[in-house]
Amino acid sequence: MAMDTRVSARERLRVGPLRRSYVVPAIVIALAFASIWVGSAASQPKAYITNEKSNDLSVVDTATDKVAATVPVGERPRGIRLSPDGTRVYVALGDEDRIAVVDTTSLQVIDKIASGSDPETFDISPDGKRLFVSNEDANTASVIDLQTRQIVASVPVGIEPEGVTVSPDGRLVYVTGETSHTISVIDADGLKVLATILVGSRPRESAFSPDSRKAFVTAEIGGTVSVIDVPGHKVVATVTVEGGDSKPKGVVVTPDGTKVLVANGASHNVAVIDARSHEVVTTIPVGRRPWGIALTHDGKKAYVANGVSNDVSVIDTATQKVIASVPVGKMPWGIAVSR
Amino acid sequence: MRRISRRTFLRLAPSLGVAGVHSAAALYAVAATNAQAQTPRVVRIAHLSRRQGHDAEMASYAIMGAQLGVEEADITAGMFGTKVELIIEDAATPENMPALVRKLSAQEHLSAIIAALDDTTTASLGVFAQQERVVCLNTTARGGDLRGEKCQRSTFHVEPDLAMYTHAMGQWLMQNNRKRWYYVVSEARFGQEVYHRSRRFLQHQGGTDLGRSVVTSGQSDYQGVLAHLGGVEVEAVVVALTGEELRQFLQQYRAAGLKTLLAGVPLDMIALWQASLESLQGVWVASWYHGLERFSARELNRRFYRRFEKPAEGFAWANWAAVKLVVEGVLRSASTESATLVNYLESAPPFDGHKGRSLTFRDWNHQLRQPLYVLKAREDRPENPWDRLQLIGELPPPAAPGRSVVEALDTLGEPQTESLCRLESR
Repeated sequence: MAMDTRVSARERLRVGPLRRSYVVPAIVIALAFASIWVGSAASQPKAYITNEKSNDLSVVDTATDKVAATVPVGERPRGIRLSPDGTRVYVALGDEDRIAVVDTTSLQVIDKIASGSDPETFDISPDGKRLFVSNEDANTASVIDLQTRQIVASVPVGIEPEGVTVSPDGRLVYVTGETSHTISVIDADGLKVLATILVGSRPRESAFSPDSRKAFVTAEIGGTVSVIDVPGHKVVATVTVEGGDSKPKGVVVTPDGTKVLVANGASHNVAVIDARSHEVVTTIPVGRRPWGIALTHDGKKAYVANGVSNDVSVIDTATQKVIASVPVGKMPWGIAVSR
Repeated sequence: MRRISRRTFLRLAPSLGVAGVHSAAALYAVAATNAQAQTPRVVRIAHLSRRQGHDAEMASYAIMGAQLGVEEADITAGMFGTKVELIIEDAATPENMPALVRKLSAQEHLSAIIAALDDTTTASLGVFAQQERVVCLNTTARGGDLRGEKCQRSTFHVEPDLAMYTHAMGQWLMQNNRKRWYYVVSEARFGQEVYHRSRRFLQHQGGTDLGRSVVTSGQSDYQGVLAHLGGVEVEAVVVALTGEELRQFLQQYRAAGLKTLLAGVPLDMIALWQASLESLQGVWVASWYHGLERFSARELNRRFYRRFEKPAEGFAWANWAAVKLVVEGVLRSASTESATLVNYLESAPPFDGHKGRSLTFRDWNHQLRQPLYVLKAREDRPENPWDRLQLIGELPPPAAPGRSVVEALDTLGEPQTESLCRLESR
């Protein structure tokens, strides 16, 4: 908004005195319309999609399922998260070693925060004060204080760390180690590794149940989803998805905690797993190489980033069918949906 | 020490409360986490090679790969309180093999022997390793007999065999509509094996065999072969030569100005880097390439280069992979016992070799399934030998959605129905 104000001030200097009497009411009317648009836009949840190859962010209006804006963000954007208050989108820029901060109102990059080397994914603490970032080639997770923008800790984790997820209760951080096939369980306050859990081959991402008692970890080469008893730090079940050849990557748990949705990169579909019985109940065909997946806050729609078909599939979670396919940038990777 | 057999797991699966589990590999994933508290404190891996003579460079890359593997595996194992140690024996011969294997097998916590040796020495090792019940992983020997009539229950082959290399090249040639082949092959056993496997593949594919030239050891004059090639309509010349014979052939082929595509099986990358193959041309098949970028291959290549300031090639990859396979087996089965490790590897655990597919051992001959790469010699011949090749193909192509990865990978190599391997019963 500050940037918009500066632009308006410059424009006003160019207006001649004779016209001011017409211009001022016009500006008032325009501002009124603008505020209505902004208010309306702000009230509609948005899906934000990182496009790894076109170095931008597609913003999809979830009411219309159309692209509302495209925002250049920087080199190799992949991991993405929204701040808890929805005012900021954070985007990991793998080739810049930074996290871009995008203002969700102005849709401008307002900051870039040093993140440690080769950031791929990250998550935000529920209070919005800290970022936890995986540094793929350093085998660490960096912890960034968002107020000071400083790295306050660097926690050794598994080899080739990737997926980072903070538990809904804010107490734990899960970091997958792709080459070590591990989950490093970090105490979010003490910033120490509490436990290491061996999971399937090449774990990519994890998702917690809403009560933070269960977690689901996708293993790309193993073709499995490990179900973890969070308090016990142990795997209690392993779900093989599509015979083990599906390359599961993105994973989300529905807000009611009953279903787990898994994006299967090789089989071009989304598997729906019963969170209690741990059985695959159905698969939903989507675009090519689905990786990122996110749910709307009410859980009624899922958005899936299809890296090879350069689009986003929109799934109606009640009917378990794709209701829209939205073309976005090149090689869409991650998705975050606002409230 | 806890020993967990595959059968035990299969029997216990229902009582573990595992739902939606469809494979033995997945059972092991569950088992491993249950057994984490009891992982052994030390994993010892012996590495056998020969740093003298013509195998010296191969041994050097093999040891580098194993060292990187141990360093990485030690980080992973360290998270579970386990230490990984590498014992390097670099003067292995068929003659000293019995004493060497006995000495190594007496080592406490020895989990496996990794062999970076020629076919003859590997065969000898396989016999004694089987007698001593030590797991052996072959990372360099490519002969079909090691996976056939000489196969051993305790030996697993990480290095692809000649049949796999031959079939990968054959698939690429067929994809590119080159169906009329001529062969220039060594009289040595490997040359003859490539010839027979290649010829059989061509027959199955309906191609045309235009004959062969057998190169004798020490042969330096190829004018007769070149004159013959100039007179026939050949779409590919399948080359299976090594050492000085290969260097001489390539040099004279270039000098003769022949344009028919050379298709080499397999590529001796180390010889290329040592600049002894300055006339390299055509397409060649390899098990690893330092220019691979997808599926975290880039990360592995970077780690290798950072550690040794040299690029990784196939032998280095196989030795890195062998260490990883052993340590993962120990961590997941919570045992250093050979029998447990054999059961684990036979259960087809999905292995991540940074090749983008789940790699598993064939249960009928213990060969690791894996994709191979077709590399083309660059026409502009860059000065740095590391830059002389470009990646043009991965064989077999990735399985289509809904198709089995195993089925696709089994298009490379000898099918089970033709295998002469009879593994000792459990």
